[in-house]
Amino acid sequence: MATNNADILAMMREPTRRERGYRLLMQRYGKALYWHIRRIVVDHDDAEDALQETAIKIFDRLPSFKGDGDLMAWVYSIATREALQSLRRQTSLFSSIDSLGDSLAEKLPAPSDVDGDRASLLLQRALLTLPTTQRMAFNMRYYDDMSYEQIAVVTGKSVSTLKTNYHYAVERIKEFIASNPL
Amino acid sequence: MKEQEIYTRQMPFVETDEQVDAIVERCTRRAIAGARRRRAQATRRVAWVSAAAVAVLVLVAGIVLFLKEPRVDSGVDTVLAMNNMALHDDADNVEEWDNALIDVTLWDEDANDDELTGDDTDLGPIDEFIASCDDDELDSWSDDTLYI
Repeated sequence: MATNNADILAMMREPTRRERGYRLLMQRYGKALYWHIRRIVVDHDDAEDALQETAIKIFDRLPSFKGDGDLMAWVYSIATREALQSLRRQTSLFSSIDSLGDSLAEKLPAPSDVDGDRASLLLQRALLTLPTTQRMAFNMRYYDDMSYEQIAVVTGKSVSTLKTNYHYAVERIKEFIASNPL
Repeated sequence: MKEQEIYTRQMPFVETDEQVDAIVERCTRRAIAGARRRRAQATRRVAWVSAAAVAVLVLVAGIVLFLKEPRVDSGVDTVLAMNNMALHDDADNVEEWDNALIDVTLWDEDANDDELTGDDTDLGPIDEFIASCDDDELDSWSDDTLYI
């Protein structure tokens, strides 16, 4: 039986069906959330930890979710905060998470002989040269096919700012790939 | 979608779909278990707080009752002492009496005999009663003729 977000929300608000609703929600978005977090933090263990925190916060906060917004954007916003929090823990007191690009690039797998793998790896390396806001805007637009309005809910930034971020991200990725061919 | 885009949309990470499904399932189970644990802890906390509140209330009630309890040696001693006081006209407030029934409601240790009895001709009700009794009658009194 197909269950939409409204059904999941209704279940989550009933104490007796709350866990069932939560399982359906995680079945629907859990994998996407993992990859969203993974693209931000890169490291698998960090991604699992952040996903765990995200799962707990979704369970605790979902009954109070207003229901008039986009559920997917709402769960993504929680996942994004946890992922950024994971990155902040890796920085020193006065450094920005944008300075983590090189250390995150070291966590990428070694390039293989397969062209597809090398292409995707090159794109990841290009992404890790971007500021975090541009990287997140690009990831959600490119990998998750999210609208700018949804990304605006997730990041708390305006649509026009996100369009600018995405545009600059694409330009810088092109430059990187041009200077680092396969 | 161009071939290059298909390649780049794939992530270069080694985790398979099954592995990610297992991670999501694990996180889901932990979140539910954590929520159950927190709920159980909250229930236990409420039970402990309730029990502690009841215990405090019982303790306070016990202290209040203890403080309100009159300090007497014993019931019999008090009755005998009050009998003695009434018979010697030491009571300062005899409200009523009816033949052998004497009801002494208040005893003031600081009052002196003169204030209590006035002059010799102004006999109080107890004096009048005692005066109407002869010695044998007084001796024959038993404790249960006085209600204090």
